[in-house]
Amino acid sequence: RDYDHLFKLVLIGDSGAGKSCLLLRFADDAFTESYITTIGVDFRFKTIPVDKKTIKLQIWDTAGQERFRTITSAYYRGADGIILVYDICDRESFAHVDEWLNEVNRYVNESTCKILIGNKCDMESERQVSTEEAKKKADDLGIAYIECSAKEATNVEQAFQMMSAELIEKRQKQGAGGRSGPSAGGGVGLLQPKNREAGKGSCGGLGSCGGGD
Amino acid sequence: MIDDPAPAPPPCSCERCPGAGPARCARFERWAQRAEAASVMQRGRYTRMLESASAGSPHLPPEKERQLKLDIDRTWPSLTSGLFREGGGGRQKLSNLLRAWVMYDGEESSKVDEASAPVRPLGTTAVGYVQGMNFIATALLWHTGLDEAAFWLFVAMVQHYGLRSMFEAPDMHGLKVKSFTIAQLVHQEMPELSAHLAEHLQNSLSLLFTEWLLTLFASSVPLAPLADLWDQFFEEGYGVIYRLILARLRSLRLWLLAETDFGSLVHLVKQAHVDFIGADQQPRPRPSLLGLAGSAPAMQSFTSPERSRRFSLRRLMRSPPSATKNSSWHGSPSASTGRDRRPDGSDGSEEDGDCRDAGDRPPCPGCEGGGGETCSSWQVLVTDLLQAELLDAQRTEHFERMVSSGGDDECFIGNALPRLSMAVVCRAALK
Repeated sequence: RDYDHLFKLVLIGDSGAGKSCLLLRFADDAFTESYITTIGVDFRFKTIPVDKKTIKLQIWDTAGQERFRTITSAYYRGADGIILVYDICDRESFAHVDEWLNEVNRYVNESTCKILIGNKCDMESERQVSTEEAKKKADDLGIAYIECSAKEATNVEQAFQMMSAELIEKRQKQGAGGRSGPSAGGGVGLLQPKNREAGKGSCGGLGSCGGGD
Repeated sequence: MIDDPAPAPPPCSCERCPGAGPARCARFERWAQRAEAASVMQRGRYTRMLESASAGSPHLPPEKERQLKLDIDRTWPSLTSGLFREGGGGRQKLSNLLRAWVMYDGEESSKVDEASAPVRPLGTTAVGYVQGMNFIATALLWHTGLDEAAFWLFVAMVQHYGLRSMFEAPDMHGLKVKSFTIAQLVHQEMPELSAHLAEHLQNSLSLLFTEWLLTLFASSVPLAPLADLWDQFFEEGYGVIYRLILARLRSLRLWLLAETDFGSLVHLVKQAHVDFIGADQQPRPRPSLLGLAGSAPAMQSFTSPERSRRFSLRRLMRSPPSATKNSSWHGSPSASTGRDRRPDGSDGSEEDGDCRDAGDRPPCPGCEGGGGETCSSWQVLVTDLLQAELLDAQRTEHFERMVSSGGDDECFIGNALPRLSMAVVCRAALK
């Protein structure tokens, strides 16, 4: 086995929010303006180091169109983490966040790690949802929030790192029968994602993956 | 919309219809005839529907229009030739066609509403625009250049070839039926492979087929082999789609059996390119496309496990599974089930020196990004290997009926491989 932990993550959110582009950025460090429509479900693997551990992520990318939920919901089951993506320039996609969470909560455990991503934060001039509003929403829901830009590679790696770190911690707690793992003490500091271009970037609203405990 | 007075010839390079007048693709005409497009066509309606769509229609509210618009540029973004070149009007025509479809479907459905309340007959609910239709429509446009003609053939396909149930709310029932059926067919034809995939794909086999079944391979297969496939589709319907899936799995069978990694299996089934070598068309996966998901340089910096996996995969490609240096790799390494009609002929060992590292051969330009015109790998599958796949129509229908009448449909999608009990039921039923 060439990894310490394997986690299954599922990307959900409205069509056009940029789920596939986030995955393409994360997995291949690439970007394209016009990505091909995702039909049904697609998936990628990526192995990353987190906190001296090798983490293998199995990431499922789902079609955003409502009709496909009958298929995509099968993939929520057994997910370790859910990544809910909306487009900061599209208020509708933000308005659907509750709906997506309700949908996903029908299939996953309440304690499944969830994270809200506001994508396209490079397009500040077209922003329709403020960072504060989204942050508040995420707080109310008890989940972490981060703004990303798949286009400019802002916070994408960090979002996945953040989720992985949280999942490791969770798994270690489970494995150690409630005791904290050896690295748990320093874990929180590592959870804080670094903004690649902190000075220039307008993306904010960082937080750790809370899980409501 | 009425096109230019003298319409441009269709971008395809198919044979043209004989006779005077503007150039027309003979293949498209054949398809339209076979699908009885003339029987659904209503003169003037297309233009009228587009006009009322522009004026604002309850059948095409903004949120539906939004989804449709979103996908226009996401349909084979790399298709930029012919009709689809910059300013070629292709994307506008695609948009027209899909908007007209939503209008048509909505209008037809509300006719039923009025006529048959309170119980609506099955198969009459509006389907609307569903992702996947965009690829089918684009392939049709490629062969006619005229959105109105492509539209009526699309309508005929939905009505006469079972496409409606594939896309239909609430649960895409037709897709579930067909996913289950193809999984059963794989199980029946290649039981060993079926069991292997069930184990290592975590029962997600249907994931691999969704796109193929929904788009009739239009989202995956380049335009030239796709046209050859559709020639047969218009003759025999979905059977040909099942057969192509079987042919593809059969050609990759040895490699699939030798692989247990989830990601590699998905990659092999969906993206691997196979060069068919020699008179007996021995399949040989093309290494350059077999790199795993993270083949980009950025990944290599800290992903040594992933890398070593890739290298082991390359080794696998060089010396096919279970083959020793001097033995032939064509024969099946273990007990072969299913029909093995790849005679063991030449000795593959001399190929070793010839086989270069992954990356030496270019990936398939026709498949990369979608919307390409040619691909030798798919072409051989469609023109040769597909012919060798035989389907027992009765059994196929039997499988399709099993789902149609069955209750618990959760098990058919996501877990579309027959669960053991289900497979036993099937075998018993067929005895």
